[in-house]
Amino acid sequence: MDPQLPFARGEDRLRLLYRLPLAGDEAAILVLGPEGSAAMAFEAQDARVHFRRWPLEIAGADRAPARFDVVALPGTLTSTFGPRGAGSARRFVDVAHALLAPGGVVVGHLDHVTSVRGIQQLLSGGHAWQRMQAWRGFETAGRCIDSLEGAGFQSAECFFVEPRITDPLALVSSADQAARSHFVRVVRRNRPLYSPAGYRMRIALARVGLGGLLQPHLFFCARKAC
Amino acid sequence: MSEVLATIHARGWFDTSRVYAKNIYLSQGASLSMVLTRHGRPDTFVKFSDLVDLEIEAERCAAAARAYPDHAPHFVGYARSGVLNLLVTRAVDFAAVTVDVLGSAQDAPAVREGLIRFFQRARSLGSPKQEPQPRPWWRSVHDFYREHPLRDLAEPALDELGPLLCRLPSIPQHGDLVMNNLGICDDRQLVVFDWEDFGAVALPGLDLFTLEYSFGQAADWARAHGRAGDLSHAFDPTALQEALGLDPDAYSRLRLPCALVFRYLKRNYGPDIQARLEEVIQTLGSGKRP
Repeated sequence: MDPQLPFARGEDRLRLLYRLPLAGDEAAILVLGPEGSAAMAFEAQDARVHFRRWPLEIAGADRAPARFDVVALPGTLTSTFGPRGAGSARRFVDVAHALLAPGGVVVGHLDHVTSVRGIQQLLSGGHAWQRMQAWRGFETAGRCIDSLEGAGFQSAECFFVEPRITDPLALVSSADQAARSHFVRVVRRNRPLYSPAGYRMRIALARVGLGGLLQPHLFFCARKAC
Repeated sequence: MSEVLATIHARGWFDTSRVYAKNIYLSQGASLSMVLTRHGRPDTFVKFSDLVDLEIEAERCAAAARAYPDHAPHFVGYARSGVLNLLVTRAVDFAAVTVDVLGSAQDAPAVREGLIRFFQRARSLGSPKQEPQPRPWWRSVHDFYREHPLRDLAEPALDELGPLLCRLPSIPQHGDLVMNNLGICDDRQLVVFDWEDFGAVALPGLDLFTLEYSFGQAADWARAHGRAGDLSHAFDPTALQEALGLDPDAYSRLRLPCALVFRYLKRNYGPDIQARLEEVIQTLGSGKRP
């Protein structure tokens, strides 16, 4: 029998990403996010998943018992902002840390706010300054890792999502050399898709290690210390 | 993912205790693969899944590495741990074969010579013995088209192919030999990737057909964008037919069956690819060249 893998839709591949940092034996998964975000990360019929709508249902969350094996933040960190400190990305991560059992995993994705597209959206959407304040610490992949570790997580990783989170085909390491060689290769391979000016811009960015600026989303995971 | 990394470390296939980075890829088929890099250079390739069985693919990758040591990535191993299974090869640092590469005075000859050596190697792997009846893969292809909208076009072509196959050498095909699966290394060696269909069919000429189709699309794109559409410095179908030992008349008769077999091999891919291939089949079936 000649095995053939089934073709997967973008949403199926996104759920596959959320399974990546998991061991498979997790009993309790909490999704904190805007309405509808749980289905982005996990199957609707997954009985392990509990959903809490962010930010309305988080009052006192950091005083709840730390009992979850996984806290997922699908698009949560950059989906909302509020008064200083209340709706900030750092607050979400602190709550996730508080709700996780020792050894538990936080996993999520967010807008890459300092990407070309992220900056365009920031400038066109209003309240740019307030949003940047709310998302401080998560503007880049490197800062995302630093903020996760600052919140008490270990083994933090943050990847560029290629081409976009709704149709992910690759997670690219944010380590400089790995990212540079990957993006140079991808831009060269995809040259037929670009205009001449678009290609020159992309290859120039890739060669100096800035290929990640063209990726509109980030994907992260980290583990709470045992 | 941590279990995958622990497994390859435990087996001595990749030392995860030293600094490394990883890029993770999702194919259209929802399997996952990783390229582990050190100092930006690809070192090890891992394909893994807890949903599908990769053992046959691992066998094919291992067979490809033995059959094409100069062109296929070095096979490292296959492992299973509960429902998780993974296959590992050495990664290759390469530049993709693109229209730019094909038009380069430096790289185009390397591609051309690499492809000739590849098909010479393929010829040496062929079994010239005539067989009493077509192999099982031919029946699988036939069955696939039994309920297919292209049935009226496919069945006569496949029926005609059956007896012909008994007289042609049986050469295991790569099964997806297209530009996207080629690379040029620093030492100008041609490397070939994605051997998951290797040996699934043994229709001589299939790999040449898919390559011709792929390069034809590249040439069309180049002409449409005001670039030279002559890729003969990189791709010489006559030289490749000679390398393969395939009579031009026989190859001409094999084009439609090759397109049908290629479409069969892509049966679980996306609708775009399937539609493009069916268009090629229709064109060939009408007696034209795509």
